[in-house]
Amino acid sequence: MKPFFKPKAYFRPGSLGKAVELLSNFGDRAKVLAGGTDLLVQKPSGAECLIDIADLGLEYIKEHENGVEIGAATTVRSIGVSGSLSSEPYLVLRDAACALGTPTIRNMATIGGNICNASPAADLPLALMVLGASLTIMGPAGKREVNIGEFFENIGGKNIQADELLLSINIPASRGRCGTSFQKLRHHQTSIDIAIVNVAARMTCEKQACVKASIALGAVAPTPIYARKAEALLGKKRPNAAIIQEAASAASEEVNPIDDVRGSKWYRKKMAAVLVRRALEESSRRCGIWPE
Amino acid sequence: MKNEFSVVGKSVPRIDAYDKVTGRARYCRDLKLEGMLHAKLLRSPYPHARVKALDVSRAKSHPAVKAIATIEEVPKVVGYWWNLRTEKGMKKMFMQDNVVRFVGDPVLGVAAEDEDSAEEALSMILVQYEQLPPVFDPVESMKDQTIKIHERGNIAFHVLKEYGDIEKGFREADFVIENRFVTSKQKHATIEPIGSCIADYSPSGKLSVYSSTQLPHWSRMYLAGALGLPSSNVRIIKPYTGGAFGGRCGLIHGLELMCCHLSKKAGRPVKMSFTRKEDFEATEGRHPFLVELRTGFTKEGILTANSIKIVMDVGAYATHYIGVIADALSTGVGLYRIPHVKFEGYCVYTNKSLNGAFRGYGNPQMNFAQESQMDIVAEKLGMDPIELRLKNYRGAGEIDPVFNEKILSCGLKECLFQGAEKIRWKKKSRRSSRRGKIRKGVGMSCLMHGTGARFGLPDPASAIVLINADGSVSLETAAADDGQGNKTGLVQIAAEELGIDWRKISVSDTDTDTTPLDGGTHGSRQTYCGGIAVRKAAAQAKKSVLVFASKHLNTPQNRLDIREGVIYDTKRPSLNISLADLMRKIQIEDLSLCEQIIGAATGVAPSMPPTYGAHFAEVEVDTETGGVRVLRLVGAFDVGKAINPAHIEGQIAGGEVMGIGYALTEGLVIENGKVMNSNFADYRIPRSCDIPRIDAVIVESHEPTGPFGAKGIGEATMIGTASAIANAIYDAVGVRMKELPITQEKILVALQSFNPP
Amino acid sequence: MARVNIKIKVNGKLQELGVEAHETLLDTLRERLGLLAAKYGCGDGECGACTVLVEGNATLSCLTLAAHVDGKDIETIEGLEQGSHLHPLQESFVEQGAIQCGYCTPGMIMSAKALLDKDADPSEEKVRRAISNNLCRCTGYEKPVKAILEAARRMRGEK
Repeated sequence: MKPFFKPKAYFRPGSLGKAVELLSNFGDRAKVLAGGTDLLVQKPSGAECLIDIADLGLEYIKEHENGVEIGAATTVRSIGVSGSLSSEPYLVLRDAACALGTPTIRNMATIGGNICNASPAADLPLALMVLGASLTIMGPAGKREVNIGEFFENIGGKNIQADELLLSINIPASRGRCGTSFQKLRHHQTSIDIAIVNVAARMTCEKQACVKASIALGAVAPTPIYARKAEALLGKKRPNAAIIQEAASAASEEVNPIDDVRGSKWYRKKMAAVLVRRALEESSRRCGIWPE
Repeated sequence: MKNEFSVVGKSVPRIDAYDKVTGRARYCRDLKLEGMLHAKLLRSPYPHARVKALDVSRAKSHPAVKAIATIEEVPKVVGYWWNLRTEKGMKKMFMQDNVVRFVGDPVLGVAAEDEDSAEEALSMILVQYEQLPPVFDPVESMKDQTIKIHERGNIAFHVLKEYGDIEKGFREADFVIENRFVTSKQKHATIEPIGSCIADYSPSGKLSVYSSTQLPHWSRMYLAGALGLPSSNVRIIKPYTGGAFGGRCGLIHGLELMCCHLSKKAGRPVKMSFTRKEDFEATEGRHPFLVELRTGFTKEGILTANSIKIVMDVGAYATHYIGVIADALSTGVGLYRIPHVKFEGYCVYTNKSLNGAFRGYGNPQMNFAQESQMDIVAEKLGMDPIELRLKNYRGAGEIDPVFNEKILSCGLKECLFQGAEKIRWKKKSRRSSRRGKIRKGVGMSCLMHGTGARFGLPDPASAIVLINADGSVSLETAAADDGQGNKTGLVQIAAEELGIDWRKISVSDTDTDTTPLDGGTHGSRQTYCGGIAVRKAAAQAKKSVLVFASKHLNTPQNRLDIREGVIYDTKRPSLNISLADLMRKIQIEDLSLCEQIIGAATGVAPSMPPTYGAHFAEVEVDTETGGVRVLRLVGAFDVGKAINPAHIEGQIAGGEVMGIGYALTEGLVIENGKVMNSNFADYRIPRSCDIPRIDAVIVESHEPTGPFGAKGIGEATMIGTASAIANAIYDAVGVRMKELPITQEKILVALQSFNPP
Repeated sequence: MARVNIKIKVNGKLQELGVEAHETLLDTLRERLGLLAAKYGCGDGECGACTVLVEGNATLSCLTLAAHVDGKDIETIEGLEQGSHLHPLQESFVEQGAIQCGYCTPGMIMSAKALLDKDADPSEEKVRRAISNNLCRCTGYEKPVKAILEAARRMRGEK
C-alpha cells in the first residue's frame, strides 16, 4: 500500500535556536525541508511535521583566508555558477554541481540536501570528500564539526541526529598546486541520470610530482568511499599512464558494488577503473602535468 | 506540382495550437463534474493468485466511501474490435473471474468523496489470496503444462503461414544464416499518464464517459456490450489527449468499466486517474518478441528464403495480440520480394502486465530482427546494405503476397537515395577503421507499414460537412486527435475540396453523440481513411452548392467551381457569387427553401497502402564504457502526399526520438513479476539534451487511392530507428547487438567477448 | 489539520490562502486557484509537466510545497498573454508547429521563459539543456527547440 505523506504541521523558523528547539521537540517525527527534490519524491510516511530552513540565512558561499564556506541551503545551481568556485581546487565541486540533475532540479536542490539524503550515488559529497571538507552541525548542545568522510554510515545512514541540523560546509584552502576532476557515468553518456558510477579526484603536485592524491567513488558501495589503496599508489611520483592505470585498477578492487536496475556489479567494477583513470588524467592535466 | 493546391501541402498552424499554448486546453485529468466521486484501485501484490475472500466491511463504513466494485462484478476486456463483428465475438470480449494474473491486476475499486479517502479505504480492505504458481518467461509458459494462466492454456494464438516452398528456397540459396533477436517491453510513456476517465451513469440509463480513448466509437460499443446498454445510450466524450501512441487503443485494463460500475452503484459521476507508477506497472506496453530468423540468399544478393519464428509475450490478458502478430507477418513477409517464406508465430500468456497496441504494432520488433539480419547478409556478401535492399524490395506494381493486393505507390527507392545523400552515406559507410577509444559508424534500415486496417479489421470512417449561412463550415468527424494534428489535416482536406479558406472550417469535438462512426485513431489511418471520408463529404456538399449556384447564376453546373469562397463560372469568372451570399439566400432569405447544405460520407477506404521509409543513423561508441551517442538521424518517408509538411516533420522527429529510446534505453525491467523501473529516473525516455539533429526527408509518391495522394505516417517514423542504430553500432565497433534495449553494459560485454583484453 | 496561511503572487495577483502542510504548489494552483495549465505527469519531478516559475526560476511545482513559496512571485503560462497578445514564445510555438499533444507545452514554455529572461541569446545547446527537465514524447524536441530560438530572436527585436 502507498504510504501516506501527510505531515500535520509546517514550521519555518526564523532563527537557528528556534530551529533546533523544534527539532529537539519533534525528534525523528520531524523532517527538514530544504529544496524538497528528495523529500517530496520519497514522501516519508512517518513525517509528522516539516521544518523549512528557508529563513535561516543558510544560503551563501563565503570565501575566506582558510577556504570557502557554503551554507547548507545553498542551491546546487548557485554552486555551479559561483565565481568563488571557479578555480582549483574547487573545480571538482563546481563540475559535480553541474552534473547533478537538470537545470530545473539544480534551481531547487541544495548542497545540504544532497549530503543529508546520504544516497550512495550522490554527486556533491564525492567532490567534498576529495576537498577534505568538514560539516558544521548544530544540535541542542551547540555546534560540532565532522569530517565529511566520517559522515556517511551504511546505506542512507549518516552521522547526524534527529535533533541536529546541518549548517554549513567548510572547504579548506589548498596548500600547493592542485588539479581536480569529477567524472560521472550515465546511461549512454548524455542523459541526466543518477550515476551508474561517479568519481571525484584531486591531486596536489609539487613540480612534476604528485605529493598527495585523493579519490572518492560513488554508487559502488553502501556509502561514498575513498579509494585509499589507489591514492597511496600515486604518492611522490610523477603521474604517468602506467601509474594512473595501476591506481585505477586498484580502485576497482576496493569497491563493492551491487547489481541493480542501473548496472551490474561487474559493470560497475569495470567502470570504476575507467572513471578513476579519467579522473586522474584530468586532475593531472589540471595540475599542469600531462601523463603522456 | 507546387501550386496545384491552395492549402493541401501547406504547413498551416494547428487548429488547437492556441488552446494548447495558453494553457486553456483541457485534458481528462483537468475535468470536474458536479458531485463527482474519486476512485482508486486495490491492486494485487502477487503475480498469480485467486482471491479467496474479500472483507470490505470496514471500508464500507468509511463515511466518504460511496461505492465499492470487486473483481467479480467488473469484467475484464480480452479482445479488440475484431470481436465486435459477431455476437459470439462480443461474448468472448469480456471475462469475469476472481483470479489476478499480474502484480498490479485490479482486485477492486473504491469510489469516495475525495482521492485521499478512497486511498484510505483501500488500506481497510482485507483480501485473502490463494497464491498460484506464476510463469514469467513466454518460452517456459509455452511448454509448461502445469501452470495455466487461462483455462484454454497459455498459448493465446498460433499462426503458421507459408508462401512458396521454404525448403526449395533454402536449396536455391548459396548462403543460409540464422540469428535470434530479442526485443523489450517499451512503454508508451505519454506525458499525460495512461488511464484517466470520468463515468457518469445516469439513473435514466444514459451513460456518459469522458475518456482520452483513441477509439471513441469502438469504446462506445465495448461499454454498451459489457453493460447491456443500447449503443445510443452510451456517449463517449474525448477531451484533449496528452499523447496516445496506441496506449489508449481500447478500454484501459481496470479503468472505464470499473468507473462505470462504481458510478452506477453510487449514482454519481466517478473519476479515476492512474498515477505514473500505475501507468508503468499496470497498463499495456509493447509486446516483447523473440524472433528467430533463418535466411537464404544467393551470392548475388538475392534473397531466396526466409523462415520467421516469433514468440510474442502477450502478458496476462490478450487484447491486441492477433492484430500485432498479423502486422509482424504482413511487414515481415511484405517488404522484400522473397519467393519462399515461412512465418510462424506464437502469442503466449505470462504473469506480467498486459501488452497491446503501440506505434508500429508488431512491426518495430519484426523490423529490428529483419533489418539487422539484412545488415548481416550485406556484411557476409561484402555488399552495400542499400544495394542489397534495392535488389530485393517489393515495389509499385507488384503484388503483396499477404493481402494479395497490388502495391500502387512506393517511394522506397527515393527514400533510400535522398536519405543516403543527406547523411553522406557513401563517404561515411564502412569506414571500419575501428580504432581508438571513441569510434563512429553509420547504419540504415528500411521499412513498410500499412495505412489503416482495411484488409484485416473493420475500418470505417465517416464525415459530415455542414455549410453554414455565413459560408463557414462545420466538419463533424469522430477522428480523434491525440496530438498528431489530424484534425488540422482534415480541415485542410475539406478546405481544398470546397475551395474555401481553411480558417472558415471548424471541427466538432470528438463526441459519439454528435459524430458519425469512425474506426478510431490507430494504424496511421486518419489522414488517409478519415481524409477520404472528409473529402467525399466535402465533394458532396460542394456538388449541392453548385446545383443551387447553377440556378442562381443561371449557368450550367459543370462550368462552376469554388475558389477562395467564391462560386464562379470558370468560363466567365465575372459571373460569380460568394458562398456566404448563396448560403444565406438558400438557408434564410428564401422562405420557400430554408435548406442547409449537408455533405455526408461513410464507408471503408479502398485500400491499405503501405508507407515506405528508410532510417539512417550515425553513432559514436565509447569502447571503454559501451556508451553510445547518436550523432545524427535521418528519416526519409514516402507519405504519398504531405497534407501538412510541418506535421509530417513533427511525426518524423517524434518517431525517431521514440526509436532512439527503443534502441538504447527503454524497456521495463520485470523481476519476479515486479516492475523495477516504474519511474522516469529508471525508465529513460530521451530528453532534449540526449538527442542529435534529426533530418526529415519527405518523399511524395502519390497514392492513387489516398486523399490528394496521401497515405499514413505516424507509426512508420519509429519502426526502423532501432535497427538503423544497431547497424550503426556494428559499423562502429564490430559487435552485433541482437537484444533491445542496447544498453551500454550489453555493448561492453559484447566488446569484451569480441575483443578479449 | 492545521492550515498554513500563505500569501503568494500568482501571475501578478496576490492570493491569500490557507494551505495544508503537505500541499504541493501544483495542487494549490490546480485545486484552489483553478489554474489547470501546470500538469501532473509523474509527481516525482522527472517529467517537468508541472514546471512554473518561482521568482523567475523554473521550478517543479509537484516537488514544491505551497507553504515553502510563501511570499514568492509565481508565474504560470496562464499569465503570459498580455491582453490579447501572445508572448513571443507562445507565438513562435504556434507558428513553428512545436506543439503536438500539448500536455508538456505549458511546462516547456515556462522553462524556456526562465532561460530567455536571463539569457537573450542562448545557444541551441543551452536551450536543449534548459528544457532537459521537460519530457516530450511527441515532437522529438526538434520543433520546440527551433521555436525557442526563434522566440529569442523576436524578443531581441530581430526580424
